[in-house]
Amino acid sequence: MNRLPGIMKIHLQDKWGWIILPWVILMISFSVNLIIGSTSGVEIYTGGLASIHIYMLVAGIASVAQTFPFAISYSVRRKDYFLGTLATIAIISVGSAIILWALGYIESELTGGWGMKLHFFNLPYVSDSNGIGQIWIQAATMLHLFFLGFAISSIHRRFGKTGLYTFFLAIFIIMTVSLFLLSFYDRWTVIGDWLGDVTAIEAASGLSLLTMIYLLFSYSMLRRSTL
Amino acid sequence: MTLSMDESRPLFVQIAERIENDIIEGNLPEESQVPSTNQFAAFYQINPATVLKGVNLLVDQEILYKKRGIGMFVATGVRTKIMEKRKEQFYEQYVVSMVKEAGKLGISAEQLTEMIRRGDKEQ
Amino acid sequence: MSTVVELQGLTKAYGKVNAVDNVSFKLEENKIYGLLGRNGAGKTTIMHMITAQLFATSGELKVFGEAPYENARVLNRICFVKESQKYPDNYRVIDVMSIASSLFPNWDQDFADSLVLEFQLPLKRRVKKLSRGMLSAVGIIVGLASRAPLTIFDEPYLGLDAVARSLFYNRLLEDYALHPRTIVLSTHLIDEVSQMLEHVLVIDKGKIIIDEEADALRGRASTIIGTASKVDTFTAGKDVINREPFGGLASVTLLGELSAQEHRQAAEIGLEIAPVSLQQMIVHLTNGKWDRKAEISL
Repeated sequence: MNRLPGIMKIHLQDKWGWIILPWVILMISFSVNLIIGSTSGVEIYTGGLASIHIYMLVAGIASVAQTFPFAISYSVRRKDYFLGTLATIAIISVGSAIILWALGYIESELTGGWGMKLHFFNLPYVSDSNGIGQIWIQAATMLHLFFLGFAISSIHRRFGKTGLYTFFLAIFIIMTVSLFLLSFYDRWTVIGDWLGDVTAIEAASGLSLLTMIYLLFSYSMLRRSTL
Repeated sequence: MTLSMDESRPLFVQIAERIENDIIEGNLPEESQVPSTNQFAAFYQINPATVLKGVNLLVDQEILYKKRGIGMFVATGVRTKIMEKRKEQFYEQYVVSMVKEAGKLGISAEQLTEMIRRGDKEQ
Repeated sequence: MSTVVELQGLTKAYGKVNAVDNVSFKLEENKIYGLLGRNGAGKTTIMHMITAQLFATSGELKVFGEAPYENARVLNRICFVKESQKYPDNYRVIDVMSIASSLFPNWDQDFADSLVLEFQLPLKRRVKKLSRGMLSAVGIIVGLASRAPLTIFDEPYLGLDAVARSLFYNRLLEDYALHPRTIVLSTHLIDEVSQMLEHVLVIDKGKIIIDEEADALRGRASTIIGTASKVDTFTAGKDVINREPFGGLASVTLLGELSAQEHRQAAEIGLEIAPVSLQQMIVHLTNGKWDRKAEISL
């Protein structure tokens, strides 16, 4: 499809939103940790890396509202918009994951936690795997979060506010019932044991499975969405 | 703006009239080339198809003729032809209604002739 | 001449209301059409369906001979410029142009550049920060430079001053002459565009009430002015589209051409007959006072 580059451009044209802003946020979070680390002198494990993950979730939500109506009114097929978005996000996720892995390598292997035992990019559990594995875990997480946001936003696109409320109500009911059943049959320990045994790689594969479901779901929403 | 058209009459008729006017006034001498449809369209901000219809009206009346690959030209001897046609229309459009109005006001034929002479002098 | 768009009994219902009600018409290749009607008459809904941005409730729709929904062969040949166009928040004018250049196959960059200069658009400014007129200019430039075989402008000149509007009309006609294509101008401001139209579609309350060559409509309506009783006698049984009394006089607008004999009759009983412009005629037809007897017998 010769239209895919055009659709990728729709996303990437917003250089500030895609290329600069997430890294600015991440770097601010990193700097804060650096300052804390250098003043306190304590070994720090921080979840600051999550800022880029949250950013992906928000970007996924914003993406449908921002680019879908624009693309469709510029004579783009819904299918092409979907595929173009998937390609863009896959490239961004893998690209970002490589950069994060490289920063993590610098952190743990070259600088000894930036000279102050700061664990920002290279975190335990995730870094149990080799380089490729780490990149895969990061990319899968980012893809998962983006398309989670994307799927939620596509419900709004297709069915409006009412659709979104109905959806969340349904989710809430399902969660409540499941939690109740788990407690009732006393299955929490089973779940806990199972989660404890899952490796980061396995978790990433699990997320990817969910991502596939979000993809199918959001495509079925957007296919029938109108302006 | 003299460019504006009368929106209550077909535009292609008005285009034909304007070309005829240009021929009568000598702006478009016989055997000279008439501006292209697109030039007309751009100048008057009119749809080219409408202009073409007006031009074709004059081609049908043999006032304009087409030179293949070059464009439209004013035919020889058409200036008098148009003026004859216009005189005919002048009688119907102006004279008949003038005489009718004069009758309503009780102006006699002599008085009317006198008025026309006076108008001619003051021109 | 081949058909570019064909609607057959197209209907769009919102609940019990038919925003577009059993509409049928054809658009032929390389003509300039006017889709005219009041705000809310259904113009934008029709255009959204033609471009597959909205789905019809019932009826048939063919664009370039095929169904437009998810059809790249069709959509690639369409450019739809709308008044309500939304752009991503961070886009600058130059970003919109760059995207348009990669999405529209016939895009002419030189033409776009010269239009940007002529409309004095600040390329680096964010679209969000543009004035209403400049926003309209962005749409106009995309619509013209995309040279799509089916180009639709929906109320394209909101906020543009007279000079800029005139510039738009000039460039449209010039470029249309060099690169003929099917153009639809949808608007409620009939006066300014009517001269550029080859064919007129008038829509009122979701129904097409006129589908006719523009020039054939001029002179189709006339207004009879005189003593109320005489005017009413004269116009009895004719298709009256407007009646305005003032004092003992009345001014009645009729649809349909009057014969030479009727002209004489009117003159004899002292009635005046005034011509009606295309704009006035459409205003009368769509102001809600006209009681439509049947399909217009033009």
